[in-house]
Order: sequence, then structure tokens, then C-alpha cells
Amino acid sequence: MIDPGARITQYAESMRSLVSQAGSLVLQANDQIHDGTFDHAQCAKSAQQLANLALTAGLEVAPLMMSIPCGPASFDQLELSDFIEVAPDNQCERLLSVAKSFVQDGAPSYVIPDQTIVFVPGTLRIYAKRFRVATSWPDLQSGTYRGRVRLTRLDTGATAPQFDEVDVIVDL
Amino acid sequence: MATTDEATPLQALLALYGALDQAVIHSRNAGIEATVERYLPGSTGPNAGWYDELLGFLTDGTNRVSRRAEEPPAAPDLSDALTILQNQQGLQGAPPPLTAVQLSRMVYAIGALSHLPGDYLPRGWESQFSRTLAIASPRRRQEPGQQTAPLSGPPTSADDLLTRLQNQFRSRDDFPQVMAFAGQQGWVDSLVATVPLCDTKAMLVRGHLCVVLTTEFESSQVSLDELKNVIDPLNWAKCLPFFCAMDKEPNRGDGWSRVLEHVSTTCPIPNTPQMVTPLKYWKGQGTNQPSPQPSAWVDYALDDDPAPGEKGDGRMVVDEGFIRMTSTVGNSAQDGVRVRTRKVAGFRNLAFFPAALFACVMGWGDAGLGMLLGGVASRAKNPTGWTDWDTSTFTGASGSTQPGQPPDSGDPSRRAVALAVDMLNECIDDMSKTSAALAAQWATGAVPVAETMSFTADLAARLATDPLRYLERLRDQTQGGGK
Repeated sequence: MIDPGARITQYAESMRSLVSQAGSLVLQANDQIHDGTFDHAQCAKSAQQLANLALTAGLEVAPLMMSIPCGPASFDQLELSDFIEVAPDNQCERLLSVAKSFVQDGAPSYVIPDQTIVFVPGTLRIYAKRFRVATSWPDLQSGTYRGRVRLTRLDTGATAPQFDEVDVIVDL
Repeated sequence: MATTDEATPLQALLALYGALDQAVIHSRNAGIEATVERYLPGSTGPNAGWYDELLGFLTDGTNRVSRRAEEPPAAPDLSDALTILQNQQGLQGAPPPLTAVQLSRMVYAIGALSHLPGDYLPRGWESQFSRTLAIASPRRRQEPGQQTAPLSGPPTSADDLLTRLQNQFRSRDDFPQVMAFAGQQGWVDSLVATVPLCDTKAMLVRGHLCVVLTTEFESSQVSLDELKNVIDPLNWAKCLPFFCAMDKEPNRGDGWSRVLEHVSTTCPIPNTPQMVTPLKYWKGQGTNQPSPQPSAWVDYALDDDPAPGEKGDGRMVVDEGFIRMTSTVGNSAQDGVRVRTRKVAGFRNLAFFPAALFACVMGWGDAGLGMLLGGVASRAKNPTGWTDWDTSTFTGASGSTQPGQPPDSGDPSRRAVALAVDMLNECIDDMSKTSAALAAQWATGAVPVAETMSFTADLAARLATDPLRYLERLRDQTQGGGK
């Protein structure tokens, strides 16, 4: 028979381990900021490390989650918007990010937290012109949202970042 | 008091699916269970018995808004259900016919039933199935009020369709191809043939387990302007038989419209139970930025500030979504429109599977599709009494509460970062305490399902977002502030 208490303790331990490792990475980044060595490349590296960490931890925690009796087996938490089409770039990949927060049409106070916005794909390859938007915000009210997306050109060789911004309307 | 009316076509449609569930329960046969699972994934095993649960939900005694409330007609068995469906069209005073979406769901159910052993089907089932399939044919599917003499026997095309379903409809994924072929052959109405399968997902929304239905559909026969002029929720009851009434209520102070929605499988029978839900909705339009295609949308949600006297029954804990309509030809007046809809529905006291099936089969999540396939033609035939498109205007008065904001950015020192990590650890401690409380409830035999789901959702959200949130703060420092 499953002992839920033991399972949940094990689950908490896994989570605590994740927090410690994430904290270590964040502190390391903080030191680099103080040293003036935390540039864009280092930032990208830290993000990748954190993403790997989250993935590893997620895989570790998943079986424990599934063992909670009667709990739902799985959830697709992310519902994608319709495709958004922009002009292609025939020279550079472009990183997508939020330039202006997404606000529900007709409800200006209803703002999706930027950090919960996900772009699929996160980077547009050369010539690519379509992407979708999703959010992991658990308080989302499904509806139509307006926002602005920044497309930052990567590996341009320029010292200053080059980017375009487009206003979008998305159904989420 | 029990009504003496015959069961309605919508009850009969639901009964076709119920027959699949009953075959699983009564046969205790692994082969039958596997067959049903192929067509209704997730309906067997611990979810077997969902039909009785759904019937109980629909006839729940708390869902009586009138002292004159009557018991709805008893749910028909499979044989009666087939007879009701065969006779559902063409008779004066009969309930509204099934929509294209509902007819597609009917063909699906009959196709699935045709794969059960004969022992679980009524006598002469092949003939009964063919006669019922015939109502989806172009010849029989007619507008309300047009009389059609009952057929002495099923047309050959219905027999052909049944044979095709038996031979080619081996699993859910086969259905679109079978229907496309049936449409080409003229065995089913072309609109019925193009109805997409219903895809549902489970999602936790603000702590409630919800059914999410997303539909995409395109038509070259209807313009964006035509669709906009039938899409107002006040029009839905005019041609979608699952919607008994859509009562207009005074607009909200923030510019959103209000409607009190009544839905039921027994709409035509007075005083039988209905689900009553106060909704607010918003109609917006613009170009489909950044592309120039004209676009319009209807967003709806539970009304968190109902008008005086606008009283729902509280059975929907989440009911929200959108209907997005976009011209495919760059001109809202010319034919060519694409519709994308999403409905997020959370039911009080109804498990996921029966809730999902109910929403799919009734076409509840596909109101936009239903209005596209039937509403435009219906208005063209009878143009009076429709509510036109009128874009909503935000008034700036009281509106939605603000459920969340981006976090503050900028932690200026190592001490602040360390503190953030400490705070996350405290969060884990809190979660552990909550989980310990949950564990105690499990140990005593209680089943705190809702609390457990809420707990896991909260934890998952933190797991997904917190590390990147901290990184974002640090990155902001290097770039001199916020976005």
C-alpha cells in the first residue's frame, strides 16, 4: 500500500534539492555580475543550466507526483495561441521576448505576468516567420489578449542589440 | 411530478454513448472494454459508469429553479434512442433537429456501437443503425419546419455508410477520413462531413479541474461579416437546440455585456431541469495583428458581478473562453472565414470524463462552429429577431479584479539573492506542511481530491517559473533595469 506521508516527504526532499542547486547557480551568476563578467553569453549559459536543472528535477519528481493516489495522471498546462506571422529575417535567428505585457481586451487591469509567457518556438530560425504564444499562469482567464513581442536578432556582430517589436493579438 | 413526454433527440444522442458505457459495465468483458476504449479513450477502467454519473448530474434535484419543476423524461435505452432519432425530423411541433455538430457525434457513436458484439445490440440493429444514419444524409437533413415523410426503409447510402464504419472506422483517428469519404459519396451532408473531432484536455484553472475544448474550422461559404452578425450569444438559442434560452441582462459598468444562459438536454419540455449560468461577454475586433486580415472575437466568462435578479445555479465553477473569427481573404465582406474557439469548463460535482463527453456531444464547446455551420443560413431564411454585431466599448468603470502582476524587478546585492533563495526554501517548507496535512487526511480515509489538485498545481507553477524569475532579476541588473 502507498504511504502518502512518505511519498510527500520524498517529494519535498527532491524539491529542496532543486532549490539548493538553483540557488547555487543564481549566486554564482550574482558573483559574476559583481565582477562585471555577466554578459549576454554568460546569461544564456545560466539560463540553459537552470532549464536543464528544472528538466532533471521535473523528471525526478514526476513519478512521485503520479504516485499520489487518485491524483490526475497528467495535465497539459499550456494551451497555445493561434499562429502569429511576422516578416522573415533572411540573415539572423531572432530571440522572442515580451516587450509589453499581455492585457485582456476589455479588461485593462487583467495582465498576464511576463515571466509566465512562453513562445513556441522560443527562437525563430533564419527565414522562419511563425510562432505561437502560451502562458503557464494558473490564474489565466481564457480570452483575447493584446501585447507586444520583441524579436532580438542574434549573432549580428553588433555591440548593441538589434531588435524589432510587433504588436500582437493572441487568443489564450 | 414526472413528465409524460417522450425523451428528446438530445437525450437519445447521449444514450448512444451511454450504451457504450453500459456494454462495458454489464459485459465485464475485456474485449468489449478494449473496443470501447478505442473509440472513447479514458471512458473505461475506473471511469466506467460515467453515464449514470452524468444522468445524475443532469437531473440533480438542486437544479430546480421553479416550483413547477418536473422530472425530465427517463433516459431512453438504445433501441428507443434510435427510434427517437429516426423520427426527430420533419414532424410538426417536434423539437429542433440536431445540428451538424450533433449529427457528426451521432454518426461517431453509431460507428463505435457497430463494433460491439450483437449480444449487446438491439434486435435488427443493422437496420436500426442504417435508418438512424440516414438522418445525416443530405436528403434528410433539412431545416426546421420542413416536413419529410418517414422512410419505409433506409436508403442504400445509409447501408453503405454503416458498412464503411464497420470496415474502416477502427479507432478514433480513422473517423475524419471515413467522414470525408462519406461526404464525397453523398452519404452524409457535406457540413456534417466536415465537423472536426472533439479534442479535450484536462487543465487546472484557479484550482478547479476543467475541460478545455479547442476547435479550429474554416469555411469558404461564409464571410466574416455574416458570421459576426449571428455570433452574439443572445442568438445561440435560435438555432442550437442545447441552448434553451439566452436571456439578455443589463450591461455591466465596465462595458461587458451580460447574458443568463440556460442549457439542457430537454429544452422543449417545460419545467424540466436546466443549467443556468450568468455570463459576461465582450465583442472586440481589429486586424489580426501583425497581419492585416480582419478579425473579430467574442470573449466570455462567468459573470463575477451579476445583475440584480440574475441568478445562476452555481453548477459551473469555470465557464470561459473565446470565439475568434478571422477573414481568410483579407476582406470581411467576402466569403472566407476561419473560426478558432476555446471553451474552458469546470463543473461542480461532475468528474472529468462525463463532463468532457457531455460538452463534446452536445456541441457546447463548439457554439462558434455551430453558428458558422447553421446560424448564418438560419438567419438568411428568417432574419427577424437576431442581435447584430456591435463592438463592445470599455467604459473604465469597475471591471475584473487584478489577479496577478509581474513581480518587482531588481535585487541589488548578493544578500538579496540569498534572501530570495531562502524565501523559496520557506515556500517549500510551507508546501511540506500543506502536504503533511493532506497526508493526514489520506491516512484517515478521507479523499481530499480538490485540495491535492490545488496543492500540486501551486507547486508545479513555482517549479516552472521561480528559477527563471530570479535569473530575470539578475539580468535586469546587468541591463540597467526593467524591460
